[in-house]
Amino acid sequence: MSDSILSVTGLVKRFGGVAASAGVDLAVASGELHAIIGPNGSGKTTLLSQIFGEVRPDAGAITFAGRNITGTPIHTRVLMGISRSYQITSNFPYATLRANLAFGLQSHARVAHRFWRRASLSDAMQAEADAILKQVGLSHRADTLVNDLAHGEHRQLELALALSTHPRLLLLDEPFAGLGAAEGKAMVRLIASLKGTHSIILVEHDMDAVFALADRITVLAEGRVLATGSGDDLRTSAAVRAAYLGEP
Amino acid sequence: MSRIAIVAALLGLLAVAGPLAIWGGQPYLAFVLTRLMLLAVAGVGLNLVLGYCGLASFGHAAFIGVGAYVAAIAATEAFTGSVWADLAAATAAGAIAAAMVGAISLRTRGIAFILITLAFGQMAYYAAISLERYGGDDGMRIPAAALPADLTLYGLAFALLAVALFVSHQIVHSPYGTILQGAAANERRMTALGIPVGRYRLAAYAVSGALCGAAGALQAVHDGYVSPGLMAWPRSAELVAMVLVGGAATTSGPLLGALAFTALDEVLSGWTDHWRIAFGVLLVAAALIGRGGLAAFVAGRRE
Repeated sequence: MSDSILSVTGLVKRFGGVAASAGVDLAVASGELHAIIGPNGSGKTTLLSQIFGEVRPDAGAITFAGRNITGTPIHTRVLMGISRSYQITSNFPYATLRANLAFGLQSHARVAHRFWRRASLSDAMQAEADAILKQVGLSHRADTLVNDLAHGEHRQLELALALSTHPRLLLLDEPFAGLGAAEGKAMVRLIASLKGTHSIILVEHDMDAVFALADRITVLAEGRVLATGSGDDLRTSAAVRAAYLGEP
Repeated sequence: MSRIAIVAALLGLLAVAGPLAIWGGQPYLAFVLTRLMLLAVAGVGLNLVLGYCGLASFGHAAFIGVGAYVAAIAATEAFTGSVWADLAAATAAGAIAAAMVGAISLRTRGIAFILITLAFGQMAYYAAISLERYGGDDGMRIPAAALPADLTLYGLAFALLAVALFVSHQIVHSPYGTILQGAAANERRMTALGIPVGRYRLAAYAVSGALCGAAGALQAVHDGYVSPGLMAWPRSAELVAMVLVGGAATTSGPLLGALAFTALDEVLSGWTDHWRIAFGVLLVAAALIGRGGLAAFVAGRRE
């Protein structure tokens, strides 16, 4: 696909005798929301971690925006415009939300290495932080310690942190984990609002959310791509139903 | 009392006490205060790594030793004949040694990091023992002619301490410094935000080594003597304990720790050789009460 922002070819990653990726091919079009589903242990998170650079593949290639990034360090990938969220939220609990976002904003603005100036944010970055918090619905919590947030708010912050480095490609690892029905609906609206401006890979177990959001869906099972297609394609695929939905 | 006020008050006291002691015929007091200040400089250096990066480095005595040996050898061989040049060389040597140790040890975390820094410290210790030309096991004396006067030395130590505190304060409150502290809390997320955490820590480690090297150099000309014992691992552990007692990740902590350490040494060692037991009690108290140490006690609890 010529307009794909990300393409993964022949990706292999083994942990001991287990192949978390056993030759994965994946192409994500620019602006697309591409969901990845599959049973537990099918290699979804390992695939995200390889795209992000936290796990080095044993074989295969990853190309982002026309550049081979298979061996590129994480910080370079982030500067190129890849960002990720974690299944278990990962933040700085004893800092305010604003201070949490400051790290990513300073990283993106390439001022993080400055060691002789005050750490306070410029007005422009302050405004950016406020805009991101507004986007994820946490404006009223800007000066709260992260430790004092509720679970659902942690999920919103997780997305805010991922957005703070101005990504073009967002890797979202189970953003719906542990959310109640109302919170889940808000999260669907939030992620839907990012579509178009961001290319998104969404790893998720919540099928309602996946079918509501995804342009295309890839089904993984035992480290292999079982099928790729639209929600309607997959709903009717016998192989997918057997492997994933557990139906005969 | 704010932390800055504590530091300013102590520095003001030190600025006056030394010269008064020397002019008033109390050279021993000036001697002790000089040692205290140099200990504090090394503590400020270690605090960058231990306090702000959250990395328990148990090999920092090696960087003090490297600085001390470089200064002692340079003074003995009279390479330059200038205390300033020797001090600069020792500072650079401390930074380079720390960068080399850091380049390897910072690839590891937790227990492995502690063990590797400990191992490098012991390697430096045995390397110093193997320096036959420079006294080997016995260490070496620096010719008295190469030593600066007491007041000059006091002034140098004071200036070094003031610079170390200022540099550390600037770094800690900069974007770089807040990122070091954030990475101590959550390295994975900081990396995911595009920060090459390893490189950032390596730079802090080198600055830390530079401060220890400079402190070691002045320590050498202060004592007129260097020996491998400077680098023995208990010295590294003492330095860690001193920073923890004073208050890790605080500006005033290393200075308060050095003050407590020196005061106990001076007061209690007159009564018993086992004065470190008392310091041990302080350390246990600091560990139980939390990370704030003496700095939190003097300044009031945080938040």
